[in-house]
Amino acid sequence: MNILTIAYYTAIKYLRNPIVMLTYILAPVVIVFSLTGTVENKFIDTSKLAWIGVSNLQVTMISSNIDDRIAIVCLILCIFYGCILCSYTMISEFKNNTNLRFKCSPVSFVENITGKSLGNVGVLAICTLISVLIIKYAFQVNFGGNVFLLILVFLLFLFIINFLGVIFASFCKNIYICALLAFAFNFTMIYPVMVDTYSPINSKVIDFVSEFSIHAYVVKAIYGIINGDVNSITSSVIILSITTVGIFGLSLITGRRSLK
Amino acid sequence: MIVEVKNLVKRFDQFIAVDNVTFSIKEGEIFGLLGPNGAGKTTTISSITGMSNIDSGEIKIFGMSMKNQEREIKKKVGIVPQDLAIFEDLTTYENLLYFGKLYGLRGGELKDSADKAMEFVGLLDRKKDYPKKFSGGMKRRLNIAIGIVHNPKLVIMDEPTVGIDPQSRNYIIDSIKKLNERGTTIIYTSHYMEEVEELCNRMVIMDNGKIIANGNKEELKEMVSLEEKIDLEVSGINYTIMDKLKSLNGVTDCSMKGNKITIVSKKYSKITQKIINIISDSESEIISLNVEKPTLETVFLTLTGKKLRD
Repeated sequence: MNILTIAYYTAIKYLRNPIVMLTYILAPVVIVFSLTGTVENKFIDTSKLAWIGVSNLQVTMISSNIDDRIAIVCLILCIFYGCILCSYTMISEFKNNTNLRFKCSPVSFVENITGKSLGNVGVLAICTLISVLIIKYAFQVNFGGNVFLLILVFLLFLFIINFLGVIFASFCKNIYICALLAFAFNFTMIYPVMVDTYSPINSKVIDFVSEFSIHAYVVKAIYGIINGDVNSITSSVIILSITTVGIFGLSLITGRRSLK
Repeated sequence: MIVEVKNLVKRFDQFIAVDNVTFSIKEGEIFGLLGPNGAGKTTTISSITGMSNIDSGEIKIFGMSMKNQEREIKKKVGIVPQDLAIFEDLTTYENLLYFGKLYGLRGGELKDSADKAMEFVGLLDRKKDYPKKFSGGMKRRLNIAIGIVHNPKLVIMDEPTVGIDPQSRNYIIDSIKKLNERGTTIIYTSHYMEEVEELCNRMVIMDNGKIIANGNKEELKEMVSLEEKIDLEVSGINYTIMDKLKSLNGVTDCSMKGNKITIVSKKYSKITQKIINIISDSESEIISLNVEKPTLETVFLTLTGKKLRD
């Protein structure tokens, strides 16, 4: 019950800051609005791709409209910044000393982190859903395929970014440094996906980074869902699930240091 | 005993913050924990509340060991931290509901407890307001209300009146007395000696991580005061009076400045009545008389060599 209580009030605190939620919803919308249509050839020339030589990720992108791909990548880019909000829920409690009350209460740090994570992910999921719906209907972006699988992929990604937020907050307890870490991490992870989206090239470095990019697996899973590529979906969802569990474990280890 | 602390040691690397501290607190007491900054009070409190792990020693609260039954103990203990610990994004009522739920209260019991806590600190009429609109004193009162919402048997208050106006301070002091009258045991730390004198039945004074004095206020005053000082304002002083006063048994010093006389005597020499008689017999008139007793501030200064607010 403590987990649900913490989750509920974490969500309530977000709702009391509508500007934060509005920004989180509108940021991907504005970026998608700015970037879609910036590339002239709307459809990929598959013969050109074959000539360049394509990566695994690019193969699953072939049948997607480039505007759709830009929209999806921008959405992933923006929702990753939710990890700063997750860090903030932790850091604000260090700042206003309410973490002391949690330490003195009969609530374990595991319940505390899990509750906050559920609250964060719940709110971020609602905001992401609104962003997706706006992007889907306002810009005619294709989010076809199995809705439940799409929700699963987005939820796994949101859990990952939430736990990353917890880890960042546990390490530095300073929201500016957390924001900087989030930016650096996001840039590194999104870079191979962006390159593949805008200008597919065969690069060992990019292939190497994309092997470790959470964003790449999320995008791959989404393309897989849209294009009905079961292999892409399965492999990506398995990797994302393992990553979620691993990062949750890591967040407990680092969170223990600051919350217990 | 509600709290038993035995040989508590807490280190931060090589620095010993709490050094072999032992004390116990009876049920229904208001127990004062005094000491200058860095004396180890807050570390001791952190150990008692389970906020920090101890290096050695034993803490028993309600007869239960902090090592094995931490969760059970925490349910019965309320904490009022030195710094405000409230959610400014939640209303007064929501703050209380949140923490009440974390302590296991549900439904009608939770709402009743929240209402009682707000009424207790005089914030019932502000239940729907956000703390960001509150004055410093009101925030302090909410800080206390959150600490007592689950009706704890033991409340630990770490300087709850710091930085607030006298009116709010009086309100809080009265609330603490009422809380104690309801049977709640209170551990109280403060920089304000007058508060400690007014509230606490018993206290320990800490310095450099060690307990240097333990007892009720009278016992502590006994430890340091060997002399009494009497200030008199007298009309028509003459040297005959001064000679008679100096010759009184127990007087160690007697000085005159204008129409004011200062007499220092050994403690328990019971010379006040004799002084009055000497002055009355000489047809002089006593305008004012003040017997200066040692205060806790004096005790503190003598034992630690520091002022409490240093």
